[in-house]
Amino acid sequence: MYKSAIALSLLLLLLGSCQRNMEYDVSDGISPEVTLFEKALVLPIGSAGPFTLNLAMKPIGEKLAAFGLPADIISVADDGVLGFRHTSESASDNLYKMAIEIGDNESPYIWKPYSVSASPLLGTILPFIGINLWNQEMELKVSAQLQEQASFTGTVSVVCYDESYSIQYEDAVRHENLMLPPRGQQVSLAVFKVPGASRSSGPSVSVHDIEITLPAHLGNNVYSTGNFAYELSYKANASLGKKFRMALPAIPIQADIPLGKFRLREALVNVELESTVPIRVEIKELKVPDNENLIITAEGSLEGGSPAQPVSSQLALRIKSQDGTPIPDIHSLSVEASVASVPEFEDVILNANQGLSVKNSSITISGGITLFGHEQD
Amino acid sequence: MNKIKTLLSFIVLAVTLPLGAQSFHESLFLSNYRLGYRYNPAIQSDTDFISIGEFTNYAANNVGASAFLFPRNGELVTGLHPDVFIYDFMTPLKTINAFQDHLNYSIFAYGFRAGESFHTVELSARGMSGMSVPKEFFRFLKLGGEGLFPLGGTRMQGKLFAELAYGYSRKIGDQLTLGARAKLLVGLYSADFNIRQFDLQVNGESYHAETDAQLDLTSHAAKLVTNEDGYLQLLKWRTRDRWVLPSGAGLAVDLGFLWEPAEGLKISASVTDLGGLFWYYGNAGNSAGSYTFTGLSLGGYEDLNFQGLLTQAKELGEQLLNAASFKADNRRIVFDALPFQVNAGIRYSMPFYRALSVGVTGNYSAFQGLPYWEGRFVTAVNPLNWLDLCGSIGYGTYGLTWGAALQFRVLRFRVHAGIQDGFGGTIPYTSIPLEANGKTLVIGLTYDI
Repeated sequence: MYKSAIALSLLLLLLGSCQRNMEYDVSDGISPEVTLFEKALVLPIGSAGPFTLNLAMKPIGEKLAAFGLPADIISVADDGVLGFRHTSESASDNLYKMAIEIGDNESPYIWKPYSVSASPLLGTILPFIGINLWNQEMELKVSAQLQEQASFTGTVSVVCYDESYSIQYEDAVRHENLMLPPRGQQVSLAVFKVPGASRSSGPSVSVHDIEITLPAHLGNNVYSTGNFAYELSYKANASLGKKFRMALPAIPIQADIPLGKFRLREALVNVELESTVPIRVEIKELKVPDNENLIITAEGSLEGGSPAQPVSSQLALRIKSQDGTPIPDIHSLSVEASVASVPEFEDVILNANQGLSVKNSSITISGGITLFGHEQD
Repeated sequence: MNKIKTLLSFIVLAVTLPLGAQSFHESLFLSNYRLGYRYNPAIQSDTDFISIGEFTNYAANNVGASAFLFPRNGELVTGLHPDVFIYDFMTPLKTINAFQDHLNYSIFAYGFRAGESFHTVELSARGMSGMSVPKEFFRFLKLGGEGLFPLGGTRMQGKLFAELAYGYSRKIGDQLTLGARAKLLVGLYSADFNIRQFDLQVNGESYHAETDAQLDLTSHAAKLVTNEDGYLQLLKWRTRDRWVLPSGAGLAVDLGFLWEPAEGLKISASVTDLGGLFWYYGNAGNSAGSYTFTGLSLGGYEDLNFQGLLTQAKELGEQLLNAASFKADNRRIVFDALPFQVNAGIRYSMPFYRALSVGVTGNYSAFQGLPYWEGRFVTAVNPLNWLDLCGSIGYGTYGLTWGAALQFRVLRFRVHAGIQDGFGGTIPYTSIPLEANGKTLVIGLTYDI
């Protein structure tokens, strides 16, 4: 009997040591590959902005300078209003000759500088591409090569035509004892404000007459090579008119995004944008130039708004492979978009404080994130 | 020097944490086992003795390694591997997945008879540790998605204390023996990190967490520094030259009886470890509140650069740390009950061969909300004066279980060893169980006076 009991006890002891399940042999290691959040990883990215036009002014100025335009063609006023400023026309007459002609007496001098009868360049171009012009202002400045300041008296009259020359705006400025500074320093002779807005073409201005009574003995005060110079400058504010619409060329974006190692199946980026810029942006195409298998689709568009009426819009970017394979590394992106004005905000004057804010954004990754897996080729 | 003491203190704590203690059910059946009073204080040794040391380790896990490891395509992968379906991963997991380990190291024991009475004195070191992780945590990692994820229930704790016990048993008449042990408990170290609530609400706009967590840490050797707002600085310690002082104190009792109504028949019942310790947590803190993460909050173009993102990430990290900070509670005293055990057993020695015994045992215990019960059929044989053998098979919370024990005598020295284990198998070349399991190991040495 006791032999049986001994045998039974030994059997139980052996039982414990024979319970190895070789399927669970960890001596060869455990695969470190894991896929987390197989259903979805939903992650808020956050908010950003506002990205205002003000911060874009400098690069835009640099771009314009590359086209031969003055870098300060766009200015920002203290209240943020964007202004287009351009010295468009200039003319001059020889002041020394005039002084010799009048001799020792005061003499009226009438000059009809037809050369400054022209449309300002910006005022012509901008309405043509759908940018309405507001608060247009033309200023006639004069400078003389005097040895000392001198007093002038005279009248400046102008005629200004609005778009399509249907309305004529005339104005005249009378000066009594206008002091002209010496050595060619400029002084404003007349400022003319064009009423209303130019929506299809810019104004044209003619400086009709400049009648000035030159002082006696001017010859003693004039350099022998001195000129009497006129300069017509133009500035205006702008809004985006109905005609404003353009397709932007494909914009290449260099970006090294190492997604391959995570073996993602699909990523959806949701962005809620709030805009105070009266521009509607529609993404035409988003693609990865070096991988046609990867599809990036954009749903929704960026709607335009105004400071008084910000407009929110939803934009969803979906990234996935055409054949269902994991998303590889992305080295560059190409974006094609078109921009257009928003009719209801046609009269909103562009302001450097207008901009774009990302209110909410999130990324949803479907199919999981694989860590320590085999990287895709 | 202080730093060295602090370091040593924590090393001692770390080394002893994964250890534990559990009744040795074969105590009732090994005829010449001297330390049966630890299973039932009514059990009396035949002779006076000295115990030179007994080591008992009990480890229990309500899920096994096979709940986390899966053979797939010739390799072993975790439940988070893409080839493991969510059903396969979730099914074996419990709502709370727990592991616990108990140690009882009997440093010295002395037992002696005085008439019908038997007295024991014993000094032990005991350690208990446990860890639990909720199933929802793994589901969230595996699936993710949106919604509410109740991730509370993560807990890690460990404690180390000394036990000085006096036991007394006495025969009442011819059939009944009553016994009791009184234990003075001296707490050395205790650490408890309990995330009671961690409700995570996930959607595309935010991650919102409602938390309630408690950190309790005893140490006279070092104290966590608090900032001016009273929050614990978890990485800053101020060491003190007081590392040998106890951090807790308590009492516990064992009660039992042994009834022998007929020749060869023994009926045993006992309850052990009724009591607990009051721990003084010199480093305690609570973290409760809510935190919402809505992503980065970048300004305009000026923030769209690496430095800007780094600054944002740093700010978010600081916010998260502040949200998870523990408000110091320097006068926290907590009563911690020992995991009591209820034991019952019947032994019958065969009339045709008294050296052969059969019987049953039953046991119930609980620790950290992890209840365990089991019943066993036991057979034992004492074929020679110097040899005892015992085997058992049973069923419990974790399924089928088996046990074996032996004891042999050399001169006046007696060596005993035993094991109780489940049938779920282990990871080859390790002792890590593949299934839910409770495992007890005992080895000890006594000297008959």
